[in-house]
Amino acid sequence: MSNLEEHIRIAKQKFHQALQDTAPEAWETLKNTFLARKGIIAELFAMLAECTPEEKRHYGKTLNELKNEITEQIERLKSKVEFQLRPKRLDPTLPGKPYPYPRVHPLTQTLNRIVDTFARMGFVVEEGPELETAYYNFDALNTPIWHPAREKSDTLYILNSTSEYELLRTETSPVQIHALEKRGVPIRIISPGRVYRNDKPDATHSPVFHQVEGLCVDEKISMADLKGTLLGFYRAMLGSRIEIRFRPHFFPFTEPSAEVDVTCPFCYGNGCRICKQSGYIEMGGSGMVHPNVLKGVGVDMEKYSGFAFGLGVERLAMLLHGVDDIRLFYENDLRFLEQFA
Amino acid sequence: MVRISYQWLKDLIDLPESPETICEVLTHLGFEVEEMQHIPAVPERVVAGYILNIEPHPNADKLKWVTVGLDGEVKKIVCGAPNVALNQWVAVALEGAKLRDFVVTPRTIRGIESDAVICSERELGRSDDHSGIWVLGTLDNGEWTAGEPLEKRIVSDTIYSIEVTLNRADCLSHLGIARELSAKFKRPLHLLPTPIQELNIPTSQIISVILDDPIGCPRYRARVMKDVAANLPSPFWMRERLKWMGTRAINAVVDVTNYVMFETGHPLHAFDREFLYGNVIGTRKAKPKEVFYTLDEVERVLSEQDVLIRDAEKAVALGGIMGGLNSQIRETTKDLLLEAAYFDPITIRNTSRRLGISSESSKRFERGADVNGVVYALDRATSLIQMLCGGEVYFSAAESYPSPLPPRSINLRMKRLHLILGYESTTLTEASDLFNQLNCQTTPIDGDTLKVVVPSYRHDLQQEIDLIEEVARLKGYSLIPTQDKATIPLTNPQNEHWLARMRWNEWARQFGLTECISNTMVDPNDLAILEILEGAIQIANPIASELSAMRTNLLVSLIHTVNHNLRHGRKSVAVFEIGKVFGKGLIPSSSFERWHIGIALSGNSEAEWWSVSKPKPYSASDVVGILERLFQLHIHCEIRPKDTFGVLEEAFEIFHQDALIGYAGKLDGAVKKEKLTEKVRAIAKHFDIDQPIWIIEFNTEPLPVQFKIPQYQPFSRYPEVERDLSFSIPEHLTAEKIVKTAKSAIEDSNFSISISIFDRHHDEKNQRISIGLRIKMQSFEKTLNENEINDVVHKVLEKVSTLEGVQWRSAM
Repeated sequence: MSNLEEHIRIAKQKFHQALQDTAPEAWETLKNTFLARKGIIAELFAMLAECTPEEKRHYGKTLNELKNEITEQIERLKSKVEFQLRPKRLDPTLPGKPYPYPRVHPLTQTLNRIVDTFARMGFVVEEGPELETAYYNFDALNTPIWHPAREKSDTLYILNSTSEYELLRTETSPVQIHALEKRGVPIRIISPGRVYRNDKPDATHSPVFHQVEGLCVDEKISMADLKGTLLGFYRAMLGSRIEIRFRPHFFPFTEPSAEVDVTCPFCYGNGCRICKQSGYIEMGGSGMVHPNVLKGVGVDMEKYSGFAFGLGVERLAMLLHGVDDIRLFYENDLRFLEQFA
Repeated sequence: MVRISYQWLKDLIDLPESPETICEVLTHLGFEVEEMQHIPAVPERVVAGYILNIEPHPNADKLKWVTVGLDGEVKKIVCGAPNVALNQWVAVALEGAKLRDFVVTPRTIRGIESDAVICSERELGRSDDHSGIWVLGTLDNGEWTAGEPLEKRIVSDTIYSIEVTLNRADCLSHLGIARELSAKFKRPLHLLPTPIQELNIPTSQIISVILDDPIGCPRYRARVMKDVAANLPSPFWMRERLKWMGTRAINAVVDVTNYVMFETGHPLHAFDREFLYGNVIGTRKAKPKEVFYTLDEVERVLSEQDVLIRDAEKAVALGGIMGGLNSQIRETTKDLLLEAAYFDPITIRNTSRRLGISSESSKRFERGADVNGVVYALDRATSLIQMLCGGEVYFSAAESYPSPLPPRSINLRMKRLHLILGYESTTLTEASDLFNQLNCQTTPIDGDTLKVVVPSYRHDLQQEIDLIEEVARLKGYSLIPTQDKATIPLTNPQNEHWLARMRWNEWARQFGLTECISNTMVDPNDLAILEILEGAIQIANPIASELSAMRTNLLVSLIHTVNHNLRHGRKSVAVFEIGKVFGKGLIPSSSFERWHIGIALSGNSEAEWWSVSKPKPYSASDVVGILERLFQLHIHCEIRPKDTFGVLEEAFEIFHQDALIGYAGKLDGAVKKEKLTEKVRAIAKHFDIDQPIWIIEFNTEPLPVQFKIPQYQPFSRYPEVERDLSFSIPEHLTAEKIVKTAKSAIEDSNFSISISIFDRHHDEKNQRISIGLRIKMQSFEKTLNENEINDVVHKVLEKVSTLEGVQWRSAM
């Protein structure tokens, strides 16, 4: 009886249509229509009576499958509705308990990344005072007596200074001298820390900021070692596609001196807004330790040579996190701090 | 910062390279180009014209109807510029000329036809100056031909603003930059010729040079000219170049001295000889408090360190810095004395600093000019003045240079060079060539060493390492290879103070606190009201008075952080800061700079949430709870309650090994500040605090930095029994006293017993406190039986009951 097949097909279609058209709450209607004693499925089973045994076996199986499918779908609907209607002690859609979510300051996060990266290259942390003397901050670093960095317009000096402190250090470079005096050579250190400049605060200047200074002195240290160290570091921080570029510059405590540019990590050198279309971003100064500096701390400058470099922590943090105003780092606004999980 | 014109460089060296390429080359030579300003040539169909007549525009007050003379014709042009005047040479754009913003077409302006435009610099795209028309000159000096196209004479240029590093004063000029390019490109310099028509009489017969301060001024050279037409303006090309250098044109003589300075880097000065007495020029030291008027009409009070230029009677210039008002070039000047001298950098620096004068001249002398550059600079200026203003020049120059500065000679070892740069950068011969290009004389000493005699303008070349940098720079830093391995120390552990601070950071975060970092420079008024100003370190030259003291405690930073966030919509703030404090402060310390950790809690200790209808505010329990967790770091601190600590109430002192290392307490605040005590009210008002802030602060430096490895303590495998006792106690008895007493009862017990407070209720009406003690006991050997348990409970009960006023309420 071939039109039984057609009937089954239609019944199936009808059910799926009804499933779509019926609200879940009305699941009983569906049950009555299809599964009741005089429902559609029952009617189809009745039609089996007129079939050959072979057809009976065939259509009986198809019909049973349909019946199971319908039963299952209706059951699902039913449990869904029942679940929604059941009285509940807890509404699981309510927000969960707000556990405390402590954050590390983005500068500390950046500083930690920097320190960890250099630690892998054998550099250990060496720290020094923020209240410094002109000797450590300038003289021992071969800064000429006339250098404008010594001016009151650049450096903050202490009122009623003593032999122990005269000024707020303008860079972490004086730690080089303390470390060389204390540890001697060979040496491989970085000195992270806070530095001060007589700068009015604006979006790109803060009178207080953080620097990381690096120093490596050993036998046969060359500028190639400096380049390798910085390339390794910036790749670790900004990605393996980073390249670095050295440009000649002048710093009193290094010679030869170089400004370090890195490939812009946003456009990889193609030019974008962040790097002002140059493809490079200026990261800090570096160079070979000036023989006068080594001589000053009694290091045999014929036997030893070394390199030093500096970088700004805020600058790197701004680049990494897309922060456009340096003052945000010192305002402690939780709306800012809470973004750095 | 120095401005350099691309076209001007081309006067001194062949430059087939584009301005952009030169910019790139300069950058890699260590001269950072901060700005490149492109000035286009004057467009085609713009010609020179002169103003013949100016009539008012019949229909507009602000417009003029100008008649301009061109090549054999006149044009009538409507012009609105305020500076248009008779006899001016102007740039006239004819029909079809493509100006910056439009193409010139005939049009009718307020009823009058006008088919050309008298251009401003802005219309020609040469600058943003739109204040009036561009005046090219006046009719009385015939430097233009009416109707001549300007595009041939006013060509395009590029002006670089270059950051010259402090050690390279020799590059504050076109000659200096050209020398660098000459060395880089291995291309010769063209020093411009200095033709001078000289009289037979030597200058030395006219004037004698006497140096009374040969240290402040080691070399002085002068030329004398007569019958010079000093009132003439300098020509257009010179005025135009000076304008790009940022200098105003004055008159031909002064302009030439400036022009030659921008060209050669050597500052010059011209005196009106009429005002020089006694046929003598020279130097002397100023007298203490001597008064001198510089040509900017300012009275200068000098000291004996300053060098003055003087004639036979009086001072006429502040040497190397600025000329005097009494001898400057004026319109009537006919005879002049032209000075080219070399001044000692330190002397000039001291004078210019002390007097607060920074001139183009002082800027160059204080960084080191060229002692041998005086000859060429003087001749170049003399030649230019004679060319522009005529006049007669005496033969040669008068000069005093009593002790010539010896040339510097430095040895460069190739081995050292290769070691420092990390590669075999040059051979001895190549290095020799390279230094010859830099005007150094070279002599090989042996197969490895080159003797290099450096020119007098290279003050930066002092020792071998400076020569190494020269090689690196000229070869290019990009050739330095990148080393990819290193010998690193294996036995240096990481700095334990650094690691300890990281651990403190972690410790503080477990309480849900967020880390803050504040400025260490604070307002002394804040410190004063918090009573922590005494012994504070103050800054002599602060950025602002609000940033003039170093914080003595984190307290001040924490208050600001809490406040900032409460004012920006937060109801609760829980933060910490690990930072340095300076000077004396609240916590005694022998060091004037040390690391503290500070915690601030304000508002509610539970987050706002639907399930908590009345969140608990922070209280002393939070403070104690946090401090109790110091045990995690194996730090044993004693916390002693105190009524007040400094300005804090409900305070605690933190002791470590009997030394005070910190404090905690409440800084009260209320919306209605009248409710507070007077002192607290003043603070609350000053900081605008309207809810209590709990503060914890301690010095971490006396605490151990070594991370203590926890040691395992065995624990009992037998069941633990718990019994509770409840007492009613008088108000003055502390929890500590009760627990101590309870513990003393079971000191001898073999069991492991702990006693804690599990409940407390304060009945204020009856002035009693009910307190619950929980006793936990356990044996390492067996399960405790009922008798043993009761024995312990009774001992505790009896002992506690001996305290006066204590009543046992129940046992559970």
